Amino acid sequence: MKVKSEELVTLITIKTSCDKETIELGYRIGKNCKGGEIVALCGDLGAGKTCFVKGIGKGLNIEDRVINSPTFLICQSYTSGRLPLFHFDLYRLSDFSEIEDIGWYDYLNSDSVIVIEWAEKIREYLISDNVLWVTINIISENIREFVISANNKKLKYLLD
Amino acid sequence: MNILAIETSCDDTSCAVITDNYKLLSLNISSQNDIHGNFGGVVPEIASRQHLRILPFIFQKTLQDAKISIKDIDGICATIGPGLVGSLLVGLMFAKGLCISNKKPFFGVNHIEGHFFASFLEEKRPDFPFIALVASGGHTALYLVKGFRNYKIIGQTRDDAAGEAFDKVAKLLGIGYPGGVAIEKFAEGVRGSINLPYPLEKEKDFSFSGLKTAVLTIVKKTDNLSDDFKKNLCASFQEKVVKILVDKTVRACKKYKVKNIVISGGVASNKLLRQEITTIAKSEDLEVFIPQKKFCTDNAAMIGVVGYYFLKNNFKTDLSVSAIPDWSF
Repeated sequence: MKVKSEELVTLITIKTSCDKETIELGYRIGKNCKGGEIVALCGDLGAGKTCFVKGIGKGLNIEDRVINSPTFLICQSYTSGRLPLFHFDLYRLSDFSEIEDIGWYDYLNSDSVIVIEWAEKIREYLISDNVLWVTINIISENIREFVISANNKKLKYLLD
Repeated sequence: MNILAIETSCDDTSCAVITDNYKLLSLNISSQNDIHGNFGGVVPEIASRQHLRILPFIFQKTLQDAKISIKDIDGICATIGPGLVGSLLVGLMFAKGLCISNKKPFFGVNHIEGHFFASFLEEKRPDFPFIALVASGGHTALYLVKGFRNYKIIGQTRDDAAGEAFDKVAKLLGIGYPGGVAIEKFAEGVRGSINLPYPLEKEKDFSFSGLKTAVLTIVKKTDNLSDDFKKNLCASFQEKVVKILVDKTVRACKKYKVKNIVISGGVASNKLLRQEITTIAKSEDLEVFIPQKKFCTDNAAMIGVVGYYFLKNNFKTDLSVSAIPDWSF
């Protein structure tokens, strides 16, 4: 089943003007996570995806300094916080079978939070109500626009 | 004493046999050309569960190359973290199976400590303490190494690894993969004149994401990317990354009053890095140890050095151990 982006409900559109504000936005979402949420990130190279994930980690009480890019490893796990965080980066992958190969279904667990960079590569497989889509648009050198959407309003609590 | 080592933490599947005095008897890595040929097909770059398919083959070839059988092995070690959990588990479970069926002791090795001791595979070995710079596609960090399992982390990357920055810059310039090799080739004989930022200049940690984004911004602003401009950009980028790595390593030596430097990880094969660190070391009265390329990139021989040390000294890891994907010191 394919989900088209126009079927998603936009929950909020917000701009940040520096890394610190991007981390704060991530923090807001991280601290509201209860477990089972999947944050799907889309945005070009240099959009600030890893920076945003540092904020989510901070909201889960994971030291933001230790969160870095999982491009090479494809998935970094962080278990030192209030909920486990699995940070995926699909940059090096070409299709869904490759993420299945590394044990994708084993990671889907209601007790953890999953964040996926380059999530657009597996868009049609991310159809659950627990997926929060975060698209980052580069407006200028420092300004980023975050368009946050989901299947329905169920995940609105993440933005409280 | 013969130790079998298994490494499957990320893309590469590798086995090695290490014997007394850390001597390497045999080493096989899935990325080797002869493995591709002998295995009957190309091993995908992203191995993940391919480890399962290729590991038995690599294991057997490694014993054959060492001209020994499993009976001649006195202990088995494997990387149990950090890495991709599914990949780590293949190597760990294979090792456990061998240990149980052949009644051999097991030792679980940390992938990063393996990089520190790649330097022991060479004839000239560093004395403790030494500063270790591990710079690869997945890691960039500085450690103070006082002995086996006596490590202190000094600084690490807060975002991209150095090797990853090379790959991403090469990709955005469209000059090929792997990025380290492509950029090195493009920058050859060129002195960079483009000013790029030095993120976290005063700190012990590294940051390469901002450097990558700075290159991206320049590329976006430039209408016509000529080859000369690309060369200049590659040279400027490479010089900056090398400067950052060298600066922070030398600074760590001074702070901890350490004379020996070990550099490992894929980025250690960069010629400019080797050249710059060697020059500075001479003027600062430091000694640099850089293992040959096949020991710098992911391999089981370096894991075997650590396993050999501990198993020789009667340490072993209980077989109930599981993979530790986020194991850090």
